[in-house]
Amino acid sequence: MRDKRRWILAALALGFAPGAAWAALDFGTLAPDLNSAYGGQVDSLYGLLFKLVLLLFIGTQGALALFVLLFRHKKGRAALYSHGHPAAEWIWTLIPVVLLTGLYFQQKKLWDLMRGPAPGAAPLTVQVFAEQFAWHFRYAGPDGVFGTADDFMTVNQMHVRAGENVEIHESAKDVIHSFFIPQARLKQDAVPGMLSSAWFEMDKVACWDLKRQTLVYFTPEELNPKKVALEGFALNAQKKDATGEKSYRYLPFGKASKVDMLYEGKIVRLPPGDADYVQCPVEIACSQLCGIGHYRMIGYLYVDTPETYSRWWKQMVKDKRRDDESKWTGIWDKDYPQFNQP
Amino acid sequence: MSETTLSPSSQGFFRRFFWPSDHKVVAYQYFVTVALFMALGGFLAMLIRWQLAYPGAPVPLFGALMQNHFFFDGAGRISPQGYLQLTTMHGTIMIFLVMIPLLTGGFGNYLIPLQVGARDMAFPFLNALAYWIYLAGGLVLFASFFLAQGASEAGWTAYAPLSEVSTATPGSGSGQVFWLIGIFLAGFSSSLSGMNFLATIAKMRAPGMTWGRLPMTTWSQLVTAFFQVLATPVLAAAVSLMFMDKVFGTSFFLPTGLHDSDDQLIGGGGGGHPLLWQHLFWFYSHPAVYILVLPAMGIASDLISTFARKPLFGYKAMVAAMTAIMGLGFVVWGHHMFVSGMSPAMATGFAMTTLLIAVPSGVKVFNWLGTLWRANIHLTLPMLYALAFVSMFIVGGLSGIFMAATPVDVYIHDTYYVIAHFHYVVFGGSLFASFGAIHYWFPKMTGRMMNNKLGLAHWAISLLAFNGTFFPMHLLGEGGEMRRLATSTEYQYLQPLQHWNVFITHSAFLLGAAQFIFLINLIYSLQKGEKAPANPWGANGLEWTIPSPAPAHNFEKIPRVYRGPYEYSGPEAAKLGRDWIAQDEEPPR
Repeated sequence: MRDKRRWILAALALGFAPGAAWAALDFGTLAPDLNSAYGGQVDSLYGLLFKLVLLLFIGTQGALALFVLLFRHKKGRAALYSHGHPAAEWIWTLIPVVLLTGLYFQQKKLWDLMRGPAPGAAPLTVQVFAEQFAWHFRYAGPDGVFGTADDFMTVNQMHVRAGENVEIHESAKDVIHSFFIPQARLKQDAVPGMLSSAWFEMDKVACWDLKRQTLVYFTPEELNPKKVALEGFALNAQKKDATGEKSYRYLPFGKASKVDMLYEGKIVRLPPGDADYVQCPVEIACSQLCGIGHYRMIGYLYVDTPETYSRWWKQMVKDKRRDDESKWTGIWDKDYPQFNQP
Repeated sequence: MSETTLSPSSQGFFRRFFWPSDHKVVAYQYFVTVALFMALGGFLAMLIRWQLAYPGAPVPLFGALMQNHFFFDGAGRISPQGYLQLTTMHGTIMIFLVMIPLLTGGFGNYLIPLQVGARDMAFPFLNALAYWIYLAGGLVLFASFFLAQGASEAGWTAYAPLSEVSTATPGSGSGQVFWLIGIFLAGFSSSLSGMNFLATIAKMRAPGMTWGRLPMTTWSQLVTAFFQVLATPVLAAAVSLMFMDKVFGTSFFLPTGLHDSDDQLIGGGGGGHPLLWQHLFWFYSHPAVYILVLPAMGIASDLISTFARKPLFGYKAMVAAMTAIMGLGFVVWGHHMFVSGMSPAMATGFAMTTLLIAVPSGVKVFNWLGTLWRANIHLTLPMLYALAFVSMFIVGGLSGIFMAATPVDVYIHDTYYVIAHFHYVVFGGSLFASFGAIHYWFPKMTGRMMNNKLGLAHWAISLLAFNGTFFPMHLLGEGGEMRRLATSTEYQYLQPLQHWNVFITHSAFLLGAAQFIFLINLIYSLQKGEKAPANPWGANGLEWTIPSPAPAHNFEKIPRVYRGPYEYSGPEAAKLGRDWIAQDEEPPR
């Protein structure tokens, strides 16, 4: 029986090995980080924890496996009669205490940065009002004051300038939602009846590489020599199989002979066929269960260069864009006027 | 003690099996009920996994059978609403109706009197009552599946206002009311058990059974009982307040200015706060996580010492660690709320306590390793499960550190990282320890041994499939995949992770299938298992000094205890020419 058991243990270990190797290939890879204010620090804290945990994992699991192998029952073996080793116990209590206290201060520094006021110049403030199952955004308009007639409002569409601090002031109409931008390492619940805020900064523009049909990220400077279409293309998703996996392509859309394109720091009109890239958004997810449509409560964040942001801003102001205005004036401004205070 | 309590076998069938005074029969009631609920909870998990790997594809067999009923739409597919009911009820059932009653109602009831040397619990009536209240709670929750609008679908955490406003989601109508009643009853039962356990362990220990001679299983039940008695009432208060909000129109958790989907003002008088629910809920539910794992730690300690044939390393430290877990366990709840909008300053305090609670958990792991050091390890089935417990608990414990670090938690909060973490603790940890416990005490319960070959197959396949199921969930969490999504394929950024969902689902099906091996083993061994002697493992505990199966009144004569439960391979045992010596054996000369 004991021999058989050893075979089973060996088989189990072998079974683990390929699985572990496969998993290791993917391990430690978070979603891409575009938050230049503190995203890198979050990732390096993750990396630090990962190394620490890996060390502890190998140490403890290794000891477990080793002891089971070394001290397994054999004829004539007697176990050591010992009730413990106080010195060893103190050591392995105090070392974690020191380690974890150090970790506490390490993470607190970053937490204070993330959840404190945004450093530097006054950030762009965007109000976020969540409802089942949409994200409403409000910008203060040219006068810089919320709750006035020149505000503009969008649904599921947010624009920010690369390299600029953005502060979100959020609340919810009906249930709790959670504003989650994986690429910004940002997550903050939107809770009915209360205002919560958080800030972030993105420094890269998401673009779709038309040649390779894949998502890429560039700083505004890196974009300079590239031709980036700002319109005239639409995302096309095709289900690959029963697992729901899709393949994505951006395809020309409409019949315009020339479209707006970002090229050498300017917006120019060029034929769609000239484009190397299409500017595309990153997704804003809802990460708090909010009802039946929770799984498709998706917002879109465009990280803009100064030129594309100003193009969008002017358009919004010109159109007096006020999508679903009643949510703001009829609920937010009426019930929570204090949320509009700077 | 009256004659009737001494020989329950003389009682009628009804008295014996429906209102038993024998703690062991109460334990069997729990075991059987838990097994049924576990099968249900497991089935729900299989449906969840089907939907995540093949979203929108009709569920084979069950989809056709239950079209338009329960979680299925007219084409036999799982609807988004059905999916939320599945996840909500899977979590609710597994926590409140399976793991807590299994570890406390089942193992606690069966083992405490046997290990302390008592003939029964301190309050047998309360004990029998606690079971029926638990069953009533379970049946109320089960009944909610048959409601017109279905069972609760606001998550097992039932965050207000989603759970409170019936127009917010269909399951928050009568389904949620049933949920609240069910949870109240299950919690009430758990509190009653806790009180009973405290009284039994404090007052009914046999002569000589000092605090320093209690087996770890009983110690862990004692610490757990404190949680059950002190934390569960807070849950009772929370669900009562929510019940009032829902039924009597109060607004404890509903803020001023709440609107429904038609932009109509709702919420009674307003003035409540959604975060109040979270504070109250987690004040109970984080300690509940320790209710879910502490008894398993106790069981593992007993099993490891017995099969290492070596005294438990650092007995006092083990007790101190559990006590520290209890103390700290009451002040870590806020780590579930780092992104809730709670003050960031409070988060730093909760981060500190959460990091520190890793210390006593670490101490326990080191002491188990210390017990194995220079031991004489017998790889019996119970030992294999106990070792799996330690190994899986290490993974679950280590992944918890990521969540204690607030900046990292912001990213992984509400993702599959969290799902992976607690399944490693509760399934890989507590459930594996429970399987170990069942194999270990089965002879005492039934007088028969469990089958080795079937047991080995169950252990090996379960362990492999468990890791295949839950390890890749870390990868999904790292990729930013949220929990509770009816399908993750709506998000473009989650697409590259979908192949892991398929892999996880196949592993989960294997894990589910492996449980049939256990079931077969159970049935087979009950009928045809090898006859068990009184002490098949050469163990020291008092429960092994009485015949197998344990007689109705446990001890013919209340034993006198001379030593701790872990005196393996010591000088006293050597004098008897073996490596064990029962707790009640007179010191050999």
